[in-house]
Amino acid sequence: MKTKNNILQDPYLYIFIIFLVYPFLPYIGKYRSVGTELLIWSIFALSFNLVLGYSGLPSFGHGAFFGVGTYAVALTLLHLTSKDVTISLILAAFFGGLFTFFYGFIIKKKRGIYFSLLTVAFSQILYVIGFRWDEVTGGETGITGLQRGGFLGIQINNPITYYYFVFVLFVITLLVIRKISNSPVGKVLLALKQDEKRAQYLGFNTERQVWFIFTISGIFAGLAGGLHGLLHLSAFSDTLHWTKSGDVVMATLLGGGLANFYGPIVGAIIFISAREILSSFWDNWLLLYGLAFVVIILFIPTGLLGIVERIREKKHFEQFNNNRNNIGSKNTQEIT
Amino acid sequence: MKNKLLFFSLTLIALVVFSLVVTAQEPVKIGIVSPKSGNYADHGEMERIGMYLAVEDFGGKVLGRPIELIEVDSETNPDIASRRTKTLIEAQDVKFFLGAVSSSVGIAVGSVCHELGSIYICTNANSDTITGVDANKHTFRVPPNMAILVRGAAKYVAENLGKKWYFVTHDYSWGWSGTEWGRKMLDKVGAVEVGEVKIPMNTRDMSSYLLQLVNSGADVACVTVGGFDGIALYNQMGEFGIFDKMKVWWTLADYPDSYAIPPEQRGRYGMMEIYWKATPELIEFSKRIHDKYPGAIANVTETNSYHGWLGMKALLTAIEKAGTTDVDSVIKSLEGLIICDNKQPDPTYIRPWDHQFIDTMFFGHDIPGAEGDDITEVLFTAPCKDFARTMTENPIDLTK
Repeated sequence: MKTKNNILQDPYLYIFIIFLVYPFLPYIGKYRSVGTELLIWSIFALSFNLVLGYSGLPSFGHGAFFGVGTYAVALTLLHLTSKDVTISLILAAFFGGLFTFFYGFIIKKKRGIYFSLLTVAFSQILYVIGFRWDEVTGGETGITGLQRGGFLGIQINNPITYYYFVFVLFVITLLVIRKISNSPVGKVLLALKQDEKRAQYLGFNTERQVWFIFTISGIFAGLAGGLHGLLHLSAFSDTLHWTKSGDVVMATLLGGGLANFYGPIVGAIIFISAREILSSFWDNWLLLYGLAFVVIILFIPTGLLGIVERIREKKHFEQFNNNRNNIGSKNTQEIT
Repeated sequence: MKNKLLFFSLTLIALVVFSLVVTAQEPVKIGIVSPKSGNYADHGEMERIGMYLAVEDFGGKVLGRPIELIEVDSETNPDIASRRTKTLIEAQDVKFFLGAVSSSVGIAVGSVCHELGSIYICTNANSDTITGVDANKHTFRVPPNMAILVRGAAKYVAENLGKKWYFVTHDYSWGWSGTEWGRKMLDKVGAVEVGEVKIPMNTRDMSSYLLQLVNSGADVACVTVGGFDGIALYNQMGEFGIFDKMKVWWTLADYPDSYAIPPEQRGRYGMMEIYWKATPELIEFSKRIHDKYPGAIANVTETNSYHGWLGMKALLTAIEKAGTTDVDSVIKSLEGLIICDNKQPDPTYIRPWDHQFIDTMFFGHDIPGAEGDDITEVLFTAPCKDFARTMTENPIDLTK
């Protein structure tokens, strides 16, 4: 059972409060769609981090599963039901999971560069399909003019209502992913990340675990994509492009997904905000952006929360040393 | 009692005057969603230059209020363009938008503006769908679409360049639509198709496609390939000596693309949306661009700068005409607007039923070996109204 102190130290509480009051914050609160986008990207980055942060598998094609979710929502709203988004969101998560299930089966044995290349290749296949299959995906010009309608009878057309709708799904996603990462499966994945051979010798079927986590990750990536489609009421093939996958890698690394569970959320917030702020100030903002990425990879590869973790570890170590010294001096006094 | 009445009247008058003064000084915000990075960053730069010059023509004011241009980078990405447009509407209450070079960005921005009730003038995208299936009450489009461009040239091509056509298609929706309109014109102009080759996006080595073209026995290559791929294709056509073997007709020819080719390798025919020497006003406009923006990618008036200018001019004229910045009133004012001082030989007219700008286009031939800025010879001008889709061909409902 959690004590009051433990609850107060849990970053989840602060993330919850910040996003809960976001629309009412002075100045930034009026940027509602950016707030919704932050929540969606946080879901996407958290799902991606299950693969990168926990299993250590560098997937560079996760944008494809996000895009699959976007198209699932768009096509469902266009052809099945346009009044309620419930089915379309379920299908977005389902197709995200289905694609990763099949693809996970193919690549579950691959590691390192082969794993990365196969994920990139898969995302590009889907991108080309999205870009060229005009009759279904709308090709270059995509699918537009969608209606958000309601969710189980609740109208989510209003930007504020939609923000809180995404917020609720974000909270649920966060809890589920945290549960998974703290479960035995999560621990096996961490073992796999540290030394796969050793994990196998301990009797774990690491391939099956990779396949499982890849599928779970795809479900949430698909959900994020679906929410994204509903935010912009459109679907474009660009969401399937490998650059989208690059964006989520950057967001996750920036925040410190490799070192901390909440890293992807911090990364997503910084990633989106920095992009919006920098691009409004300087035409050549991409130069700064690229430089920032290089600096982070070179000097703080564990990301921003990695620094926090390091400081915290250092403090713990110092405290441990102090305690040990105190106990040591006490013992010496007693002996003397 | 009298004193009280006088006091209230004076207070009321003071409040009205104060609010009028405040409103008069409040800037009219115009969002520019244009690429500063990505595939069309250079085109974006030119369209923004055109917009700045239009604002300058209005003395930086509309309805006596200063004009505030708020620029965002579309990154040539519909997803990002949508987000930034939404942000401007939500946070800064921007009611007017211009910009977009690629069709996907144009459609995305148009969709957001329609959802949130702002006006959008798409300045440089040619897809048929913007004023077709994706048309809406809030979106207007400046350049001609593919239907106008291809139909405007087809008759001349069949009669003067040749009747055996080989289609070279950029393998995505825009390229397909150019070829599709070409095919639709075959019977009407008495031409025949002798084959087609599709060029995937981001192809730079065109040799295998050019070999197919050479062996096709065609009189005319009907090309709908754009961007950097188009420049690479044009360049390699010159290197392969294609212009000695057949005529090459580009369904949409941009000046900067021709300018990028070495003079001795030029030789294509093509429909241009603007010709910088068509009128003294356009020559003067080129000088303005050259003097004010010496580092710009084009020395003369070209498609992007002209359409940026025309789109902004149309918007500001409509606001002045409406006498208000109320969106519905400005839409009404834009619908059916005729712009006579458009620097072109004929006035620009905005069709009320599909929001398509209608003016003049120019069919030209790049003169091989021509040096300097004057590299194209105009063979004929075509009024867009004669070739634009009719209501029967394009039945859309802007009231939805």
